[in-house]
Amino acid sequence: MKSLDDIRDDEIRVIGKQDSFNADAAAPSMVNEAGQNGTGRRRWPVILVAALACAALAALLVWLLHRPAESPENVPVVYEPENVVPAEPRADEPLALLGDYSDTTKAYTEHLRDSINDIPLDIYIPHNATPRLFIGTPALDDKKVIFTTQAADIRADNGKITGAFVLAGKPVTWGLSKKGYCGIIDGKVTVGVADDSPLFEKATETGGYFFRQYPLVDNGTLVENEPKGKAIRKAVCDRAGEIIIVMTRTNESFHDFAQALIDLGVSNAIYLVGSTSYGYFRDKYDQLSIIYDKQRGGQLYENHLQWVE
Amino acid sequence: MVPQDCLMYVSSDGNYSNVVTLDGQVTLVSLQLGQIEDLIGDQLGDNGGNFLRIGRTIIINTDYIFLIDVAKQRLVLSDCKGHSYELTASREALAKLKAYIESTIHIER
Repeated sequence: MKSLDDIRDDEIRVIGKQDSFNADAAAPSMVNEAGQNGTGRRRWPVILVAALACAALAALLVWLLHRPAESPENVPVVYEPENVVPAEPRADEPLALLGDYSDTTKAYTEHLRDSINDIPLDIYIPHNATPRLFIGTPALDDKKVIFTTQAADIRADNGKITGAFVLAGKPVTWGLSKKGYCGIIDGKVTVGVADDSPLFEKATETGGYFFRQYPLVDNGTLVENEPKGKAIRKAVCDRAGEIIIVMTRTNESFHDFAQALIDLGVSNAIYLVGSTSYGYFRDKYDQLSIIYDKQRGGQLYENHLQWVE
Repeated sequence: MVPQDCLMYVSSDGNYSNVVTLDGQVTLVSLQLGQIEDLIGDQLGDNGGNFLRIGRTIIINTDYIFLIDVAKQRLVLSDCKGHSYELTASREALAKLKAYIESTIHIER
């Protein structure tokens, strides 16, 4: 049996044939009439150019070492302009919003794609909808839901939610297991990192929502986390006041994911249940797209971060 | 047993694999991707050339390649009858896939 390790991620292999596909060998134009690979012949011009460059460099070195000393008057000088204005630091420039906010009535999810540090990302931006937490598995035919993805982790020992969790003002679980938090108070999402957050109490007082997860970015600073494996990563993020959900399309470490979020301009971010956990969204044409359809099933406290119209 | 032209792609899921067929059905099977690759190779022999292993995570049926976007690391498979799937692979692998597809088209002309 072939193991997963006998092929790299940058290789392809034609099944039923002996060797991995060689992209260079596949181009017939590169094989000459004598059957020789054209690569060897193409090396000669490169070698010739390299040899000429070396000769020119050697001549330049000889001239530099043996040239007569010039008097100061004859030395050509390039003056820098006197009134050089230092460039403004880019950090002061406000970040442009990622989303298109021209439609102010229809509830929908905008789906963008980007690639940061070679990490392909899906970015979801809910529009004109109200955020909330939900316990259970959301039904696909609930058309009020325009975005849903799993939020807090479930404990393996007792099946309950990990860390503090408030659902519509009612505390479901207590405790600090992860320092990242997300609070939803009066329809406003706040993402942050703290041992004690007043948003827990505020959520209980105002009928709001609250959950905890791994912190990823704290005020623009990367937060390291203990799990070192790679998986599809998901996060709810605050990017200059814009709340976005970012997911990787490839397996990534926490560190690389958090760095990509920072490079995207995210100031605060916490993790969401990753891998192929269940989620879907509706776009502005009411098209339903399932992000991942892997329902674990049997989890009494499966919980979701949602936006509903 | 899945007819050759009904198999769209297979993706790795740890020690399991998701087999995606033309009717949109996704079936989780308790075989690693390497074992499925062996099965395809054993059963189809040289005819298995329709199937390509791309990196460590997917096997695709090249008959259903709709789009290869190397820059955005996107590979779209479609039966042009309503089922389409967007997959992700490394840029290098997608560049090689594109070269392979172009070479097979050239040969068939």
